[in-house]
Amino acid sequence: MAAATRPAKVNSIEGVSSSYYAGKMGRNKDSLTLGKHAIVCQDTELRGEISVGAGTVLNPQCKILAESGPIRIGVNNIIEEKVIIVNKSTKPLMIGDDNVFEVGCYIEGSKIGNKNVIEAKASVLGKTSVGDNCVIGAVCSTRTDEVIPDNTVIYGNMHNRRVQTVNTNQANLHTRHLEYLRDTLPKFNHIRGGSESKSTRNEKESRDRSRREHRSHDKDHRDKSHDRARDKSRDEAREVARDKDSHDKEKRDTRDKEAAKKVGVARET
Amino acid sequence: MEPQIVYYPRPEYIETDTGNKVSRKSVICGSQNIILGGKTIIQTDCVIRGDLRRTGVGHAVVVAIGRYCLLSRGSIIRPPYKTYKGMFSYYPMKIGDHVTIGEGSIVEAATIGSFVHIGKNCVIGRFAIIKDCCRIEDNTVIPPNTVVPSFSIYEGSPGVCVDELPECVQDLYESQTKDFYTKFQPSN
Repeated sequence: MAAATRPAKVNSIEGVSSSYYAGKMGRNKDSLTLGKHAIVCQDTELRGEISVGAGTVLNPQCKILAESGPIRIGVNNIIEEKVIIVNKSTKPLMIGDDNVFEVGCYIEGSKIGNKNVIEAKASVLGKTSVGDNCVIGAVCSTRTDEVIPDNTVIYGNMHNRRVQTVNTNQANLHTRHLEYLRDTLPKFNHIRGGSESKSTRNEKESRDRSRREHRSHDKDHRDKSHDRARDKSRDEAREVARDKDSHDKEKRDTRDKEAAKKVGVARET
Repeated sequence: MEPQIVYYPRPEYIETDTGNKVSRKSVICGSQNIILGGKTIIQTDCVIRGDLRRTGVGHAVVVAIGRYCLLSRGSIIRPPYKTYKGMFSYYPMKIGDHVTIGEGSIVEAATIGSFVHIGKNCVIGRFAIIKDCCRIEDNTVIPPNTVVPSFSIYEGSPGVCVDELPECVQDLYESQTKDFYTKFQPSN
């Protein structure tokens, strides 16, 4: 059983299709190497040999499937929801640094360079390799076997191509986006990883708490009538959210239970 | 053309007091920052990112969705982001009443008005503004920062205005969404 051979630090397979992959992945064991400050949400599907570089952020619901060969992800990438990165060849799939993989894109390919933006629902197919600083526009795709040179932009209905000049704004936005995600994601999502990330989370929580106390202190000084009016509208909003929240909690509980059950089953077999 | 009754297995959905039906298999992050207006249906495999909230202090509503909305299977709602005066932030998204979002569509709009129909596999770019009474056809890509005016039909990649809608669409979409809600029933 693959679960037994897996190192303790790496999270076991979870999700619905685990039984489907269990047989398939039996021969090459799952291994996940995380760089420093990399944020990988619990709610992701990672299979096979994967290494994630320092500072890379994986949003929930993305899938990285190293089916035959390993996948090596570089430094400071952002991988959003429902992104699928697959390696179907035996050679490693190398992904460079500072790339953005937007919602729902599909990556096969043999190599992705640096500073690329793969927009929503775009796809990189077959053995294609992508250079540096490229943009693959929304819903666009590459051909199955080509080399995309640096600074290429693929856009529009007909998957037209043009060459772009280097955009300095993008780099600035990217670093700030990363900072934001590294700060925010651990507050709302379960994060994979070792003890290091857990301790940082605790730190963050305590920092938050102190900030909150500080805030409530500030509030006393503010104009009361103004506060009251705003509180009223906020209360209304909160009521709706709370209503939703209680149900959500219930949902989460059942999901946790299901997951626990699944893990139990895996251990038994 | 009368839509048929859609049955769903009862344990799959949660019904709230205000009549929202939310699939247990949908992924809702940061639910405390999401407001559902009531009688809204969120189907399986939807993703709503309420955790991507505006930086700064105070209570933040990230995603506000009106009444009688339908988020079909696999649709993704995530707030838009930008840097403004050197500050990176995600910004709240507002969706009006009687809005239908088709299967597999990705919405990163700033605002979506009421009585809007978004087809399947659409991509609505960051900070797009869709006004009231619009239709976005299947597989359309609305580029970032686009403003879609009222009573227009958009199609293509990038989306362009191809036609106009008659004034009756408001009533039409209202009755359609209400009809869908009443006919979305648990089996047994």
